[in-house]
Amino acid sequence: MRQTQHVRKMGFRNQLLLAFSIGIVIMALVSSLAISELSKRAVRERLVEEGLKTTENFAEQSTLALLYQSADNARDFAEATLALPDIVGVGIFDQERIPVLVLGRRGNLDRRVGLPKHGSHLVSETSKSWHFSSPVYANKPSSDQEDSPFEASTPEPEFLGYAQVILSKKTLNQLSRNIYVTNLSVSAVLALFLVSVLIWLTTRITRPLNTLSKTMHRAELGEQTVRAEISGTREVVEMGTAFNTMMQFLEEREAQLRAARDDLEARVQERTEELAHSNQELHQEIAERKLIERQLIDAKETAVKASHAKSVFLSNMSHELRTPLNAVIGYSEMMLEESDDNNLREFAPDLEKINDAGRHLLALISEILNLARIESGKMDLNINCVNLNKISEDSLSIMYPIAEKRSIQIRDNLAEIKSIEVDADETRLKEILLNLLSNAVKYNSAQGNIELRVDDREDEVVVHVIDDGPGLSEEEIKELFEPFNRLKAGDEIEGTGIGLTITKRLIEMMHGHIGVVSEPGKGSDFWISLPKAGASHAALFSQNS
Amino acid sequence: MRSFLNTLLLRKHGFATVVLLLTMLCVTLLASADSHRIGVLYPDIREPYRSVFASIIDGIEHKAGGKVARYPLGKDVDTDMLRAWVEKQHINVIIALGRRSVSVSTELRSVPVVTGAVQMSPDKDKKTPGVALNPDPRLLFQQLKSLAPQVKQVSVVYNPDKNDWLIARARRASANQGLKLKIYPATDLRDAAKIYRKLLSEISGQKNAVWLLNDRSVLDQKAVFPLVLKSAWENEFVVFSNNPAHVKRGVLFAMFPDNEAMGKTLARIALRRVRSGSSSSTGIVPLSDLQIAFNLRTAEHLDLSIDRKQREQFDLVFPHR
Repeated sequence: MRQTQHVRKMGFRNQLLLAFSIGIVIMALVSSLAISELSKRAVRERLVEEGLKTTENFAEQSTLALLYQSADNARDFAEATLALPDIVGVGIFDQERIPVLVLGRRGNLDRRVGLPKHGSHLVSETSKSWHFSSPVYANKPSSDQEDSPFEASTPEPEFLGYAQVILSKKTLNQLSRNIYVTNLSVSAVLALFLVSVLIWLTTRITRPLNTLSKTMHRAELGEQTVRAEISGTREVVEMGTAFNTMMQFLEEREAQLRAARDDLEARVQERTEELAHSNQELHQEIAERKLIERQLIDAKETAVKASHAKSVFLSNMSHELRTPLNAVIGYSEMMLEESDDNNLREFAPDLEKINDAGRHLLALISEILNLARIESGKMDLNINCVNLNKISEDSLSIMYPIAEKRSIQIRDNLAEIKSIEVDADETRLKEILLNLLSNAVKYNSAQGNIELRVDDREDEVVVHVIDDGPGLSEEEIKELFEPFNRLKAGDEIEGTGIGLTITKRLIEMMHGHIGVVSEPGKGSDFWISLPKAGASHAALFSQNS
Repeated sequence: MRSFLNTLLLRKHGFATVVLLLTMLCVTLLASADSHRIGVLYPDIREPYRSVFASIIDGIEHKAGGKVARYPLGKDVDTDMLRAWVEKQHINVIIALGRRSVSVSTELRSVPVVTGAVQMSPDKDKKTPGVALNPDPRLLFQQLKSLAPQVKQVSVVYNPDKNDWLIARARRASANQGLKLKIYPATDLRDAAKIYRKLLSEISGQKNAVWLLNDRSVLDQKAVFPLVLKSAWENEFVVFSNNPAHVKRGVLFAMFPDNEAMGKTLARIALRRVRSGSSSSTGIVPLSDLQIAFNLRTAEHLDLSIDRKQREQFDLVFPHR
């Protein structure tokens, strides 16, 4: 592991050198050994082949010696054979392996069994020699005589014995040593040459790479405006160019970043100042708002107190005013009756005016009192499920006589709709309908028309009171539901001017709405909408949600 | 045909036509007497043996007038097919050439067989006629006396199992030529080698001659034969043989088969066998159709005088000049 890390820490050139040097050395070693081995085998095969041929030749020359059992017949040739290079022993043995002639080393042919009886063979081998043997035959036919068709029978060759030749391995071993030494020397020289070439080549290749590496290292250490020297092989040139491009790009990017940072700092400073200013303004505004809130709370308390005081005042004043008014109305009626009884009819018109004025004032006081109750939250409604059809019919029955006085026709669609129930205070709903119908009669021209139309919708009911009177302008509609706003009403039309205001408040208390659609000269459509029975609770629930 | 003959006889050439027809009839009858068809069995074998058999067959065809059918024998012989061939070809007599053919011919009992081109011994009852490849000793000794008249004694080492019959003929022939034949029977090579060693140590001078039979069972070509040659050269005695190759190596002369003439002889024996039946069989006879190979260098060494007439008789002369 440590060696691996050590190799990893080596430079590119050294790693390259190490890998290739190891490869070259191994290649040289293996190739030299392989070539030596092959050469040795070739030499061995050649020597063995020569030994076989020598043995076969010696065997042929041994025939006479074996035929005559006389060593003299083969001695000359045996000595000549023994004189051949590397032959260290020759021998002739008869069929019983009894030696007829042995020169030089004796060998072990006479002790061996199972010797082949055809052709010469390598019968044994030691580290120092080969032992060849060949059977000796008499009457061995030549190639021409084999299968001769002219003989009545082919005589079998007669086996006479064996010839032995011992061939020393001295030459082989010497040659092998020489081959190994020569091959290893050549391989070593070649390997040295190749390694030298490799060192020169790698140095040449890696020099620009080292320069580039050092340049990169300088850049890594933070040195500015570092540029690689463009030289070396194509790949190194490309790397150097890429590095320079990258460095240029990085410098540009750094400059941009620096500029952006400066700009950002300036903007942050500016924003910080703005924020401080805004903060200061906010603090100031908060203080002002707190002041206003305090003032509003004070004003509200004052208003509540004033409203309460107003209500109390109105309540007290109404009570205090009703008592003398009732006295005025009562006495004026008594005086009318007495004037009629006493035949003082000339006072009757004045007394009637006093009575009418008193009643008007009493009604005004009652409505103001109602308005005051509503605004002070003291008006309690008794909201129940009520029949709108019945309330509408009751209201119409009250209004028919009044309308007839002015020859005004009132129509309705109650007969066309089914019975509808709404959540409302029956008394107050009736008052609302009477108020709307009363206004339609009062503000309509004589012989006009009024229509009460009930529109039954999914969750609510809309009741329209439509007249063909003079109509209202947009400005009039805006002020319509403000108190004491008697539009186009002259003295001939009775009214307090707070009827629609009270109507609007009551409708809203019953979770309904009121509105008007009108144009001057085209009449008016006053409508109210009320939730159907049960729907008001859902509406209330959804509002609360 | 009949109308044609009538026309010839009756109209124009009456007498001449009769003579012509009689002549044609005679020729046909004569031809029918020699119309026997000879089948020749020979081994389908490599050169140089192929050429030898071809020459023999040429001689047979020459003698038999072309009425010869050849049947080459491969290593595996289908005798049924051979019999069928004999019948289909209307073979009257078979000439078996070579060892394989002689062996196969024993299976053919329907037609007479004549053997040839084999070194063989005659059978005892002499039923199968033929010509052995062994030269006739009579001719050999005649040639010996002609070429080396000083020779008085001929020694021969032989295998009694093979060449006893030939030695018997040699005895008679040597006596006729005034030669003393010393015979040395040997049972194997080792025995023959010892005999040769003893023989070679005893004989010397041109009065002696050694006859080398072409028999490998008593003469080792590589070991003993060179000894004989060496001894003959040193002791100046005559060596003659049946093998022309020996002449090339130093033997004085050898007589070897004249193949085409041998073929003619075989054809003659075969035709006689067909015409006369088995009673005419003389059995196996030694070869009389011979050629002569002569070594001039050896003759020169032995101081033999060879005249022009003798030299013209030689078919092969060594060494080539």
